[in-house]
Amino acid sequence: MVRSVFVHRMLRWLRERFMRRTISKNITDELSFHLAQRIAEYEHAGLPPREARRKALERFGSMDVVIDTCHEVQHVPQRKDDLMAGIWQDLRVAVRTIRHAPGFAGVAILTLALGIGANTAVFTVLNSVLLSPLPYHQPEQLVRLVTGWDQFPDSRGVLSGPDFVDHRAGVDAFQHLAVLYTYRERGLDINTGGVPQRIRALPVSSGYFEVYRAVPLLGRTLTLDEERESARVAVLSHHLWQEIAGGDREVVGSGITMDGVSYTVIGVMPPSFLDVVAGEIDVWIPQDLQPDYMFNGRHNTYLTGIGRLKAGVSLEQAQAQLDVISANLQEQYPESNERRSLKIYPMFEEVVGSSKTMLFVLMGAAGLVLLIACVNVANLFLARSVARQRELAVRSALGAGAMRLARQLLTEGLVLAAAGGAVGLAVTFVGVRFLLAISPQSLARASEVSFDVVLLGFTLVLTIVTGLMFGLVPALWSARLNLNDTLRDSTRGTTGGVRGRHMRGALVSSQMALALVLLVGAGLLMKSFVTLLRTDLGIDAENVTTFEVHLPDARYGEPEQRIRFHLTFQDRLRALPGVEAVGATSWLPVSGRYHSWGFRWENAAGETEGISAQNRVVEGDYFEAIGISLLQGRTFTRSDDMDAPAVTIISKSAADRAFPDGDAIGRQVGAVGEVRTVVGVVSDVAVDHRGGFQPTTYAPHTEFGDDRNWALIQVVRTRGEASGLLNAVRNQLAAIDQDLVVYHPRTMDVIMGRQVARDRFALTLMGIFAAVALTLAAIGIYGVLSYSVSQRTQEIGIRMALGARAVEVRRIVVGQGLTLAVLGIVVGVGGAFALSRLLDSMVFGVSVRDPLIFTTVPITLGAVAALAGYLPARRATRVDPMEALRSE
Amino acid sequence: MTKSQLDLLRGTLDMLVLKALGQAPMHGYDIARMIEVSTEDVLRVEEGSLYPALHRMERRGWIAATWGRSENNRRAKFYELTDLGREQLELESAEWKRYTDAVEQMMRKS
Repeated sequence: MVRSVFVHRMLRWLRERFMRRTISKNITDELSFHLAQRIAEYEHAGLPPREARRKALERFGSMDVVIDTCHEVQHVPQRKDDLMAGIWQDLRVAVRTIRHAPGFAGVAILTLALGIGANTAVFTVLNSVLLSPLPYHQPEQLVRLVTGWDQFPDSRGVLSGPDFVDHRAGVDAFQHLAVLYTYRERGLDINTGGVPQRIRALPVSSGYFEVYRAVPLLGRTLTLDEERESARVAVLSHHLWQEIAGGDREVVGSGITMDGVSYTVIGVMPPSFLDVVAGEIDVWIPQDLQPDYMFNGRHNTYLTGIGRLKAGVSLEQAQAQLDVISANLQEQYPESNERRSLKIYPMFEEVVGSSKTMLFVLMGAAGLVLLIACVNVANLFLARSVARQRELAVRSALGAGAMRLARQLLTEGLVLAAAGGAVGLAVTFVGVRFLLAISPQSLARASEVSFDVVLLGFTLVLTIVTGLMFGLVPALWSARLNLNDTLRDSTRGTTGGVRGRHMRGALVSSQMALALVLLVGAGLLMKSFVTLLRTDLGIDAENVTTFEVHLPDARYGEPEQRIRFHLTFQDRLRALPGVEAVGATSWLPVSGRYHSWGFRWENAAGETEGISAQNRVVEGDYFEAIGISLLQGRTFTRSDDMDAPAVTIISKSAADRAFPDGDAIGRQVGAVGEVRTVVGVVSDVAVDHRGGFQPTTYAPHTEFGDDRNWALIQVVRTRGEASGLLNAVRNQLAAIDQDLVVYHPRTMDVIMGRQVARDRFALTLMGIFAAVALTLAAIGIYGVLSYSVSQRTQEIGIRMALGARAVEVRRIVVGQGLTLAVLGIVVGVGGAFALSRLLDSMVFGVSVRDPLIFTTVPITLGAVAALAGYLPARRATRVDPMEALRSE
Repeated sequence: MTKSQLDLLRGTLDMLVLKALGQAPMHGYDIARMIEVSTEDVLRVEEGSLYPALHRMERRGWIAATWGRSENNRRAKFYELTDLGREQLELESAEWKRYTDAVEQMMRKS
């Protein structure tokens, strides 16, 4: 039964739908017949044909309105349940009305698309990076465990082995606690089918996978007993399992040789497992936590701690438990643990951490653009509703009820919204791809970005609601209250009501203010970025190539073996064509802090003083290769070996701090773990791309290579571009040892570019926002002025008929726009002044109140406003006075 | 059109159209002309009101329409009164009479 009613209704709707064309034609025929008769009548009365036609048309009024009304009369649904026909009717009229106002429709759709598209794209990226929880079960329980020093309140250091073990044993607030090896992912060499390959290995404690609630796909994870180097077991990543075992499920229990040592595979992780702290890893091996392990001294902090709180346990409760243990250890081991304690922070904060300021500023910018878009839409709808007052009044007089008109306006708004939304969707898709393409790798978790439909809906709804609020309400209001006035009002040339004009003016001004705030922000970031690129970082990065060669302990366990390898390798590289200098270091400049060790000296009063300094172990002509200049004394030579007295080279800032009189050479200092004689002073280098300089101490690998397997980073300077260099390097390496690999080759430019990438990303986004804001503001001013001009055609006509010159008319129109703009600019400068402080942590080498920015931006904005006002002004002066007067 | 024309009072258009069609079937233009001529151009019929009114009455079944040829042989839509329309005309004429009598009465008193 139900179906037959539905089918019946469907058929009727289809019939009407297809008959519509005929009906339309009939109405047009009937009306044009009427018109023809009227023309004939006037001609008969003696009017010339042209005049007769003009008069008849004028008398008839708007053909469209009559056709529409007839349609409505014929097709108003007779029963209330005939909704489909009603909706179709609304849509049809809406599309027709919009098509008759292409300018309005175009601007509205463009505004909506830009506002919606730009925002959803940025919010999608932000949402995935900042707002979404970590990709783990109950992420709020996850914490980072760090070492805090009382004298440095915000310090978040890494842990020592014994500290971790002692705390783990003494607290019960956690479901699991674990550590992972902090420094540069330790590489391991494997040999698959005769091809040596370097893979990323991460030593972890037991409980590591359990903290993340990650369950192995096959086998098991690490146990407490396996927290020792001698437990040669390994957990494979899904990726490595596929690559070396072809996904064979029998792999568990089999052996795998890494760095020449055989490990037993105990488990395989699922492909979904991702460690947001350590990044992508190929294989997990046990971290030795036994007290007799050579690195587990209480002084040696080198482990990153993670943990999962028990359900219902707060951060404070857990911290209180840790504090008790820390206090005990301080008492028990004052020499190492004095003023040292373990702290916890939510992991969420740790992972997003440094991106936060940037993301919040960008989010604020996105909000501003959305606001500007909303203001624009509101303005458009407002202007339009005023322009349509008469039409609405006519329809209302012909019996269309308030509900009917409201529905009509609503449909129009929704049709525009749908069009704007569709274009906006396209903008969003392109935008997200674009943002991801240009986003720096350093932006945490950028790979997890997924498109967010809810977000798109939110922006869409917000923009539409704004438009309708400003369009629908005044339209209905005027249609109902001013019905008679509007109809009787034959002077169509009124300016649409003082109230409406003031409202639109206020909207345009606020738009200007918002755009100015954005532009100032973008300007500051841009100036800061330029300053950043010009910063002298203390190195010469051009034509410098770096790569790593890791020496497996199985064959290079003795320091002499490693030192001999490096000297041989260096000689071979230096002999390559085009190579200028060859060196190596334990950590590159501009790549962040690495080993911060103590630097101690005896001051003039004979007391020992000390600071924390960056420690680097270097080899060969490292200083020459990277572009650090020698200021005093000498560089290291091959005779600075294990039999020679320990020496060090210190950076200028370290020398200035310890020996202000410039007599550093020959002094005894505590540096790089030993008492050493200073043999040279070199220029400073930055630890980050913002020019953060730190005192640095250097030791030669030829002597200090016995401390550990340093896995040095090779640095090669070439004459000109180093094309083919890496292949030559690989050949030389194979000639020494077939199984070694050139690992992670990069140019110094690339390394620095990656550092700058974050700033570049922020700048690009701000630039996009600023451009969108400027465009929207220009559209806003243009829209209001051209509307005002079209409404004042008659007035302008009269002025020009009375002898006003074009220049004067233009000045009036442009002046009107500029007044609004200046008002907005003044407010905007105030706002930008107040808000610029938020940018403090993002800008570099520029005052957030930079006078240049604060003058050029308002001037630019004013110029754009003048231009946007000039176009309608020019049109105004093209008005033919006679036309203007007759247009009534 | 020397004298100023009066706009139709709301609601009277239907009655005048029915009255015109009561004399003969005719097309829209002739209806408008007939009203204007009969009232010596005092009443003016807006096209914007006439055609929607015609279509509304057609839908209500007061008048019926057929497509035919005009005197100058053009395709035109002719309207004629139905029985329902005749009843409606009588109803509205009576109402109108009552209304004008009442107004007249009041106006004569002063």
